[in-house]
Amino acid sequence: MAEQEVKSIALFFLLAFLDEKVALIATRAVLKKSRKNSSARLKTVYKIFLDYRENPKFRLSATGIIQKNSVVLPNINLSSWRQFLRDADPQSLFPLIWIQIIKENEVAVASAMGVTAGTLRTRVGQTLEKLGGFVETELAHA
Amino acid sequence: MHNSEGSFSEIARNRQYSKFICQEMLFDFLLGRLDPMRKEAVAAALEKHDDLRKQKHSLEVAIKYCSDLSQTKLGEAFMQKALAPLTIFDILKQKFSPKRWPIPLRWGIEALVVSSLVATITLVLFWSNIQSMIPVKNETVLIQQKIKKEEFNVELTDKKEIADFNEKMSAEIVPEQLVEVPAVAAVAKVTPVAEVAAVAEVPTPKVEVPKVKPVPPPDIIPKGYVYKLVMSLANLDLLGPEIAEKIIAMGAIKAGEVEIGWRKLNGNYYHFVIEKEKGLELLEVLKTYGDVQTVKDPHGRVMPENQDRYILWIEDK
Repeated sequence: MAEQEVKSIALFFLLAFLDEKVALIATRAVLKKSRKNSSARLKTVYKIFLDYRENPKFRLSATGIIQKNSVVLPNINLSSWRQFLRDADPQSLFPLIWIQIIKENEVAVASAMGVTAGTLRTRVGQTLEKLGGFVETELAHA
Repeated sequence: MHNSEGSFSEIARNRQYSKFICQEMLFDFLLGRLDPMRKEAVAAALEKHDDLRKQKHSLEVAIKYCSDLSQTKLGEAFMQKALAPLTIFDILKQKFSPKRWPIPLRWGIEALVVSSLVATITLVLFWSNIQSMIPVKNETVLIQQKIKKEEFNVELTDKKEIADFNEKMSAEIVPEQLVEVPAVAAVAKVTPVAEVAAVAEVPTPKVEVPKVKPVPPPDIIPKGYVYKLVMSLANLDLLGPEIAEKIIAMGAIKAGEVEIGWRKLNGNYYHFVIEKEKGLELLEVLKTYGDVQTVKDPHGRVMPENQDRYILWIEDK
């Protein structure tokens, strides 16, 4: 597996759980199952993401631990992202991160999730709107 | 044909998109994925509806936020940890993880564990109740097994007495009546089972009869027996000596080396010889104290006609 691909998976889990430890465990779990083709690997990522998301052990904590020496975060306020993660539906969050942040191919993500590209786009649009609401509120309070 | 095509595109151009449709197309509008006709329609709707403009603003803010988030970089330390090779422990853990077991096996184990726990807890909590529900017969059998053990111990103390008896027997038997039967096995062939048991019960070290020594023929082999009485009484410290006194008062003579009413850890042991009639009377007396279990067992000693041998075991309740 290419390092870039591992980076993408790790970044996905990091943004999905905002916890370095969980991201590491989840990434290694995907690597353990190492699939040969990329689309199937994304499917594995999706499956593990759903499992972890339902698992109370990995549920988003109030203060996710991210050490600055291992992850370089952009200079933005993460509280709206954290709030958004609490409410977000995993089936919308998954494509949002992969398509809007990691810039993965829409068709590959849709195939991993077993939905059509149109459905995926609609979900991303709706989820983005929700995220926008959180960011705007945060900006208004700032 | 040309006219109909022209009229269709004219209809499409003049088609009015609802606000809802425009809302749905807003995301694609922002990404520039709409055809010119729809793009025009959404732009027109945006001019018309204030909430659509707000929605568009939210989407723009979110897209910008996502774009910022995409700048997140993972450090070398993190990547090293993520890419570290799997240890043997990890592989084994993965291979034998309970998650990989077949569902029936997992359910089976779970059911077994739960039922064992329930059984253990029930036993611990209600042991006294369960114990009282066990039939008395079983208790008696246990006591009888105990008494057999006890008797074995006492028989060892009777060694001298039995040796004397054997000598006496050998002396009493007239040489003409004796048949040269090599060993006990030959006796077992012609004697009933009970008698064989009686013969077998005589401890081998005690019957040290040389092979050449004459052995009595089957018809004169003694048929001894012993009455084993089993009781279970409370307050035995008080009742034990009292019963012993009554037994002695009836003319009983101790058999073996221990006194009548020998106190042991968990009960009293009475080994005695008494007249037949008195023995029956004694049984009635004992019944006034509680239930008496009576067993008649074969025994190596043959008692005179008017006497019986008794072993009474009273266990502490």
